[in-house]
Amino acid sequence: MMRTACYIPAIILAALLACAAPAVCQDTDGEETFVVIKAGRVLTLAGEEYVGGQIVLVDGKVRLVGKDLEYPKTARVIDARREVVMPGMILARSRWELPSYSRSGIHADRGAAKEIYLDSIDFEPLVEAGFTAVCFYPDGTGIPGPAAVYRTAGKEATRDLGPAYLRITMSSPGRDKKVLRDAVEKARKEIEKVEKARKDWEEKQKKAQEEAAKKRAAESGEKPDSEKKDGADGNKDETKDPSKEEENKEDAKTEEKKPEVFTPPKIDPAVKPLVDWIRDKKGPPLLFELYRASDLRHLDQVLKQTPELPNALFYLYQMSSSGYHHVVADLGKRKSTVLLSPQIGQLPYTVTPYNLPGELAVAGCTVALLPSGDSTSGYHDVRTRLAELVRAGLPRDEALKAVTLHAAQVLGVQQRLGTIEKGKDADLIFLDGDPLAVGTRVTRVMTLGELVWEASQRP
Amino acid sequence: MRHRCFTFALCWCVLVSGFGVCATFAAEPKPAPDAKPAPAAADKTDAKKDEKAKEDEPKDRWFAVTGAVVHTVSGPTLHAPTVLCKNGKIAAIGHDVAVPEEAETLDATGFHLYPGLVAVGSNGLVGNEPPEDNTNVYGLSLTLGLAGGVTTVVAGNTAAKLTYGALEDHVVRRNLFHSLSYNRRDPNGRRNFRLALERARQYLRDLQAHEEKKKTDPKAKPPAELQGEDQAALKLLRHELVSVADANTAQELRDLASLVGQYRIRLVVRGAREGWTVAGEMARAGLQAVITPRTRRDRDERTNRPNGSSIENARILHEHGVPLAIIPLSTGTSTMGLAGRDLLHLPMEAAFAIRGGLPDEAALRAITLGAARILGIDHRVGSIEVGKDADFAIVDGDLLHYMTLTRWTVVNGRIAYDKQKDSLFNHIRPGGDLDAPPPRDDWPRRLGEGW
Repeated sequence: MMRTACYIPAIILAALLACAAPAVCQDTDGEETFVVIKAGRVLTLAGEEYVGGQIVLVDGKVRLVGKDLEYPKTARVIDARREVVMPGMILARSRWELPSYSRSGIHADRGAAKEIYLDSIDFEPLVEAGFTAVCFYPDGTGIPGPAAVYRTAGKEATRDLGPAYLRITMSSPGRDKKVLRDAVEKARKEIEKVEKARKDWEEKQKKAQEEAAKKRAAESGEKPDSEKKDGADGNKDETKDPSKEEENKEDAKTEEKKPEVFTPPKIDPAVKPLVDWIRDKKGPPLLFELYRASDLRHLDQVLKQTPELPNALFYLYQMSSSGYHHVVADLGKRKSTVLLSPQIGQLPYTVTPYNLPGELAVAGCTVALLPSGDSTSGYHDVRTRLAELVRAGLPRDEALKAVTLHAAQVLGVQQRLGTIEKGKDADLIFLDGDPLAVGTRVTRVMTLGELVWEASQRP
Repeated sequence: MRHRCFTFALCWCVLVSGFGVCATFAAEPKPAPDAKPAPAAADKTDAKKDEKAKEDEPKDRWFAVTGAVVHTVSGPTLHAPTVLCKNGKIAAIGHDVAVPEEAETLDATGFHLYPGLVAVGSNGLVGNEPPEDNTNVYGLSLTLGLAGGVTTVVAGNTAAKLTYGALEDHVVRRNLFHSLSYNRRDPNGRRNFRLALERARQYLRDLQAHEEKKKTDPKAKPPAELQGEDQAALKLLRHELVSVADANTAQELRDLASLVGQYRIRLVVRGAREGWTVAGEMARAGLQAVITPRTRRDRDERTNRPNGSSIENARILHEHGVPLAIIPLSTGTSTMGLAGRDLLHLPMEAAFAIRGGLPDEAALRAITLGAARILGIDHRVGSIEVGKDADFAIVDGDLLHYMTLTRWTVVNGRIAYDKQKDSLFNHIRPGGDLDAPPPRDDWPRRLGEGW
């Protein structure tokens, strides 16, 4: 008896909850949840900067940003009047807490996403330093695979931001040129294979039609059989040419039967992105990794034969002898997006300082910057390094964008992240001073409108 | 240039041409199979015709050097002609050459223009084979090579150009040599090589016999094809391939001379330190030599014959008619304590041979046309002639003088090195131009306007 008595309140509670849950949902669906940040200063990095500004967030997205904004009285207000709010920084290239390995050859199918287990990575140092998104790249040389972007904090389900650039190394041209050439050749063969399969299929279709016309009088079930066989050969692929579908439709019209859809043979996933670029002129961004200026010439030599591939996204690994000053003008001319560490290096074999990020920006490149090291100290240093570049001539706005908007552009997430603008995700950081001032610390971090980290709550 | 009386120890094969500076040797083997004959020297009217014909092609790359004293090496020295280049080749040389408007012109008044130097060996200037996939085209070594006036180097078994900042027309010729190891420490190897030559020779005889036989019996069987080493030997006998071997002592050189005398293969000897003791034999066999005039080896007193190195080695070999190329001790550009004995100072190595009596012209030739001929690339580089590659070392004095510095180096009709734009030697002003402003201090770096 006692037992059943115990159960009764539990059952009642459960029933209540079951009734309440939909009600709550309806509430949020009908009325949007407003959050208002009253900030001391808002750096939108989209052209505007508001002293005493406000940001209105609705359901984790930025709705309004400006001064003296209107919002419902029910809105939750976050008081940050002593803080500076800016978009969360984006770490565009990292292997934080990931093991290193060497992989060579063509592996566009084996991206970094396959080695990421969010639970096993400690993102705290990244969050603490002000990074709200991080891009993990696959290790190795050649074409080791696409990188993957994640939020550094927030609800598990919201953290995966999808694949980013495909990494293609050109660090040792003798080795890497061959890999790229082979990959392109392989991609072309795959395209040929699909074309051929389609031609065969069309021929078969035509033959079948002729046969059908001959045997119109007598019904026969042979034809669909033969096509089924054909269809079973290849797996379904996502990349169907719209033109093909149209043809299929026409076929469907002439035949009265169900439309027979051409299923192209499966494309080798290891070269799929290259196939997309060569055939459809679009695909994932290709990030070419250079070790020295000369590598750009070697890369160009290969790309000359493959003009379909984009050639304007680079990661520049900086060595003392890299000599990128030779190709700054060239990179600028093609409006490259360049990812690199914020160092003021020296011209090779000299003591002449050289502000490579600044020179690239002046030449017309979109400069995205990384911490100087892929380590905790590197992450914490990054704003100091930016400040140094600004002192050496890089425009302040450009420096801040380099770790936010431009980094988002490198990763292809600029529609969602990188600035404080209407419609963008509310991934923000709060600082207790100017981001480029000495001693400024990150006080709070917000992803999708939720405060996920606060310095005051850390030991 | 100093003029020096010199006598040719007249071999059976010497033919004096031009100013008496260039000696062509009848025994000198034909150029490589892929080599085209060197085009005729400049003709002004031809050049003008050329220009008219080429006006239709809009995208030609023109480059002209004016005002320099042009040392053609293969012909006379010309005073301040215009050297017009089109798409990396010399199109015209002369005083009344019309330069197209779009041409990039370089006023080199007061400077001396030599053909780009040819280094018969190199280390680290261009990448490993294949160089077009490995060269660091902005590398320091490559730039230093250019600063030394060098434009063509041998890397591995490939001749490549120091194409600064570009990979186009980088490789000049592949598979330069068949590498031969023929010494007394490996009698079996020597025997095997001789046997291979013997088999190849027999094959040639059989082939000839077969040709004869075919006239009467059309079904006659040709001899079986040769394999492996025999195939290489056959190519050597047919002069489709040139051998290269290291040899320094008189004995080694004599061995090679006798081998070559027997089989008439083409052979380049690297080293030839005691060449001066067996110069006659070398010349008669038709050996070519790559020498390092500053090699030092004391005489071995226990040996009852002339031995050791000699400052006169280059002169004696030259006078006997052995074609020469000169290479320094270190074929890199990093001096490593060997100041002046690397590719930065290739002309100095040649100049040292002049101390031993080698004529200036022969010394110059040994680092330009002579070296190119040994590599079988003399149809493209080594002298200033119409049709040849536009590779120039434009220097501020006599190339073989130790004070001379390279002012510009031109490779394939592009300025690949400019002393005043590169930080390497800009501060050195041997002309004593004290009024010139000091090199620009680039700090604090001023970024462009418009920010």
